[in-house]
Amino acid sequence: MSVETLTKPNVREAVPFFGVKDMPASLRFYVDGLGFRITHDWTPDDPKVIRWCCLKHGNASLMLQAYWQDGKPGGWPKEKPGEGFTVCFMCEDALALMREISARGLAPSRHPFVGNGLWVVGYTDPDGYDIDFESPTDVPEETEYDPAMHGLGR
Amino acid sequence: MNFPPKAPANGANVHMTVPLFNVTDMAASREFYIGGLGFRQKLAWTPDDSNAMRWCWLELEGVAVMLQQFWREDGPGGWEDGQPLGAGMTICFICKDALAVRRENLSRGLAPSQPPFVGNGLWVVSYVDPDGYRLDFESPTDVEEGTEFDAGVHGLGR
Repeated sequence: MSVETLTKPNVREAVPFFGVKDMPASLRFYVDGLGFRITHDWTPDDPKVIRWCCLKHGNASLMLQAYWQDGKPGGWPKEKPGEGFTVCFMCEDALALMREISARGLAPSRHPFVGNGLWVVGYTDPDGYDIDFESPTDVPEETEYDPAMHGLGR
Repeated sequence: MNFPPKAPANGANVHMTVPLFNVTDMAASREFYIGGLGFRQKLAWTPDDSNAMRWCWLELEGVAVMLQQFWREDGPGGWEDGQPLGAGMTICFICKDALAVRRENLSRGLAPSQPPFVGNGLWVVSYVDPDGYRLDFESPTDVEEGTEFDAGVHGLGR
């Protein structure tokens, strides 16, 4: 039995896979805004047209796939994407990340607050999927973010 | 694993992805995730009654998920009847051996929602939870693309 078999768990990572209507808009949000980087992509039609990609930010990954029908974007469901679901990215310092993201021109979709002992910084992507970055804090529960008080992070 | 997860050795700020599912029936969801998929409960929140769980943190080997009961005023509620949950998305659990996960789940009485198949060089073993959220367990394989699982051929895993 290999060392890897002995030391690594079988189930290793949760990776959200989102169907998206407009891949360029999603990439502007995830790459230019949130700071993910593309690690793999699939461009079967045209090297400039990404149909699928894997993105990474630190140790977290997600995948995007363009809805596609009759050779062009289309075929997406009528239902609200990701209803009832939030992807939570656990961080060392969610406020530091928020500042980096804000510097790239993307503001949180919801006012940051403290919940369950965590700073919660929430964004909604172009399709409506909810994304939270969360990090531990000892700031009192339900405190809302105030740049004058919390501007330097936790 | 601890809640919240500890910092990784590589110093990355973003270090773990944890799906949070809002659920309509916490008891049914717990039966699925714990009784079927083999997750273990590490934390729970029962602010109203020790028998009425509103939130929990579950772990399965290297991954975690959170379940949160849809809640309105003083009881379960707040979801839209007929509005499918989790449309357009799947949570992929990356594994060393997804077929082994399938066998373990079968031994607990939970079958995949469709026959496992090979896609993009991965065995894909799919489940749909009681609210309709889709979960895929996936692991690398060199079995031919598009192959459907056959217990006689693939029963012992990859």
